[in-house]
Amino acid sequence: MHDEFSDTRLHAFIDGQLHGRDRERLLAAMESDPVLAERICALQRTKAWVNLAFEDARAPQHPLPRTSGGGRWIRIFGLAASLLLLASGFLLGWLTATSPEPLQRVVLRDIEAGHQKVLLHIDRADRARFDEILDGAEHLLRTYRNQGIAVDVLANAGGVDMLRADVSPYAERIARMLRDYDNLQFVAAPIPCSGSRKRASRPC
Amino acid sequence: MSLIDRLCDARALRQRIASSRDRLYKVALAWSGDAMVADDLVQETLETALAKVHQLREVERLYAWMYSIMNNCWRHYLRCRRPDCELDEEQFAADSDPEQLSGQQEIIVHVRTAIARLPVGQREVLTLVDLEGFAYQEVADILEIPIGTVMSRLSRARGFLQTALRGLRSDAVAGAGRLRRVQ
Repeated sequence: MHDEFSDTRLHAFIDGQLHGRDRERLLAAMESDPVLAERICALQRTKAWVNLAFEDARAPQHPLPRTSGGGRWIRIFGLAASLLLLASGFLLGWLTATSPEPLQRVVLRDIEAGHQKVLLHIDRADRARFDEILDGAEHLLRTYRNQGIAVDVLANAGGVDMLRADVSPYAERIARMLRDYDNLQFVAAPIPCSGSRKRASRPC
Repeated sequence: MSLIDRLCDARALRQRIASSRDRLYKVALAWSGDAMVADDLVQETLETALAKVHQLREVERLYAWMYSIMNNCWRHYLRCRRPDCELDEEQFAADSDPEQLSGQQEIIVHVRTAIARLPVGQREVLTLVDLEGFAYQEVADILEIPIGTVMSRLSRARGFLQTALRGLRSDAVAGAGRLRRVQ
């Protein structure tokens, strides 16, 4: 029996971590030492049990967030594009500075309650969210046109930027919607975010 | 390397991350012993890896890097769950009665139960070596422990499993292959 082979060395052998002369000596010793061979066999069996126990484990599938790929290069291009856009915006703003045209029907007041009123709320300058809100508002106004529905789009905090004629990319769409729907209004609310959430959660 | 090549590489890397869910899940399941916890761990790991992929310096260490992330998520979970318990002493109770099962399923439950009874530190080392085939040094890097600790934990874990699974060899395996007549 070869006592010079410690358990640690045998573990290293079955895990492929034993190299060179050490490995050769162990292989040679196994040929003449059945006790040593059985020790190694037992360890390999244990390793196989562990693999077997999780062989068929499959993870449930969930969607992963879409983040911008491309790493550093994409970020560099993104930065360059942002700077270009900023410069264009500055130039455009300078050229049109003589005739600013604010949104006429954005009002600064509290919301009035009504029986058929729907309140949609935006509290940050989030274009994806605001797209959903505008789409939702149009859907409601078209679908329930004959039921006397009214829709208020309430903006506060960063969401007010979505209504500002000078910075909002939605100025044109908002103007069109106000022309198309009499029972729609956009409200820039002077109330804190938490208050607006509570208010929006109550049925009107 | 051209810009197009770099963009393609980045895209391929992100696809490799996204497609590694099953392999991460096996280890997460072995660590936690709970399918829901494992699912959460893997999802959090994948999301973190995708968000921080630009921090990966050596692409060939992708999986070791992802397991480092998962280990951080796991440590955080354990701290929140049992803040006063020594991590190395943490144990999980089996939630199934093996006697109600049979054949292949019985073997799986037996082995998983035995693994769940290992202290967390031993369980982590054992599964990273046996399920993922990481080298001892890689395991030491992932878990941020000395390589000597990796080897000693592995030795203790396998010693425990050999004892715990001794009775399994004849009975369960024989049961797994048994054919029964159905009336």
